[in-house]
Amino acid sequence: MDEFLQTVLVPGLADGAIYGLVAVGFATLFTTTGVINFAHGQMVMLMPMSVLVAVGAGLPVWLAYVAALAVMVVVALTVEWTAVRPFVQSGQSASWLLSTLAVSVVLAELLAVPYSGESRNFTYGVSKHRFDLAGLAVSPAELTAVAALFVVAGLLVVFYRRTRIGLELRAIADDLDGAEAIGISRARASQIATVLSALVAAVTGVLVASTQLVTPSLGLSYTFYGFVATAIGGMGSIGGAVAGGLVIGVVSQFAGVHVGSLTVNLTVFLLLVVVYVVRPHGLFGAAPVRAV
Amino acid sequence: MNGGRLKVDALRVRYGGVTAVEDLSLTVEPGTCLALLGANGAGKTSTLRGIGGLESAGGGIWLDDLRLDNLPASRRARAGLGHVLEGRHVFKSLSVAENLRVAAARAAHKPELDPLDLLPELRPMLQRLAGGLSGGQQQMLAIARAVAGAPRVIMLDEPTNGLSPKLVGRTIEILADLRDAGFAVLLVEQRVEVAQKLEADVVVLRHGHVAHRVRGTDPELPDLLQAAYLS
Repeated sequence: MDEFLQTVLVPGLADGAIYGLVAVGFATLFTTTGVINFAHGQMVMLMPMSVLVAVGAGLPVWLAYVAALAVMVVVALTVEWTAVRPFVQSGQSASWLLSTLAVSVVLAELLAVPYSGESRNFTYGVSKHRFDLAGLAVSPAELTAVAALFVVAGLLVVFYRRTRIGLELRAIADDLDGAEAIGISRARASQIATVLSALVAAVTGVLVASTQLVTPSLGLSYTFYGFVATAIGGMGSIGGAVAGGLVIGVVSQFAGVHVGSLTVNLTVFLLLVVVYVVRPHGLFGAAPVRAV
Repeated sequence: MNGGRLKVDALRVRYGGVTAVEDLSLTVEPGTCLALLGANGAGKTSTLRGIGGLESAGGGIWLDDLRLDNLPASRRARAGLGHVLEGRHVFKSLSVAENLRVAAARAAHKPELDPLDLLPELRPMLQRLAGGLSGGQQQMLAIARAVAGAPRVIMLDEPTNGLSPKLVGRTIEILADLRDAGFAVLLVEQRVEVAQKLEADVVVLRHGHVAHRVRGTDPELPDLLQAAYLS
């Protein structure tokens, strides 16, 4: 049992928390705009990469974080303008799939520029050195990842339910024409959702970089794992994103330890297929209501 | 004073190469009602959506002295152009209270007419999800939501569509209340009796053009409409 906890559950939940955060980022944008941003994984890697570049340029670490956040917001707004806004609640999934994938490729190429695509060690995040906690070896980075997942998801739920802007984003998600007819701006809502998603990506990026080398190509990997978590949890559901991420983390870790490292992707995507067969709208997704 | 003056000059709405509305001009004064009547495809809904900014349109649109036609739909709404859309378009995952709250939050000022005074039948269902309401209740909510946004002009697109005769009567009462409260009311309808009971000015549309302009009380209105429908 202890071995299962140490080799599967602890690392699985920590990885799953990262996948969950990526999925929460997807859900944050999808809820309002109906667009899944396939460049989100690159946004995740943009944060630590920007910090590294800023520190390399001589900025103190705190200022590097501020500069990196500014870069995240500027890039997010650019992505929103070019690849998201034209397709807000349009139902043109082929269009936004291609537009966000195109942005993903562009960002991946740009992320490879500063260090010629080589990996870099990130020492400005949370410690990955393990310590003993109730007989289990865990690291502050792993604990922070799990805590961050629930804190970020909780804050977003409160934001959507309790704030005026959150209510407006839900209104846009429900009915774009109805929302515009009462004065809610589609462009502003899309911008807010994209920046929120980018801030989630910033948190995710720091946590990713705290546990592994910063590699530009990691973005694509996190995009696909996050997408699977989103799909399993249910599109647009924050709670579903949390659950989907944790499930993916534990299942992939179990497959890696007990079946073989080459079966991890196979297992994760097979799980997606099974969930889609049993519950086509994901574990927490709601089937569309049909008027009768 | 609730109302403002809506003036539309030479409105033109096109979908690709298809002209839906051409050279439509109208004025709605505060405290009056103007009804657009016509057959399906005559351009009634396109007119409202063009004025509201939900479809791109040519021509000039003014709310009092403020020119609206260069503004996006959301800014037209905030300027005082209320729009009750065809098909209700309530926010189904929000409660009735949240539907009203989100509209009021975007209003330029507090509405002089409380939407729950206009539609007290909504009070017992404030905490219910809008998606769980009947069609008639959703229509009442759609009107109340428009009023919560403190408009000066209210455009309503077929508000009696699909309602029971009793609710059609109630809707006419509400429209009369809005007009009497000083709002300029621009109405799209299929039922001629609604325009007649509201004593509205009537514009009959045919193929996107104005075919007739008459008073709703004009005894020739049914014949004019029949001619427009059968043309």
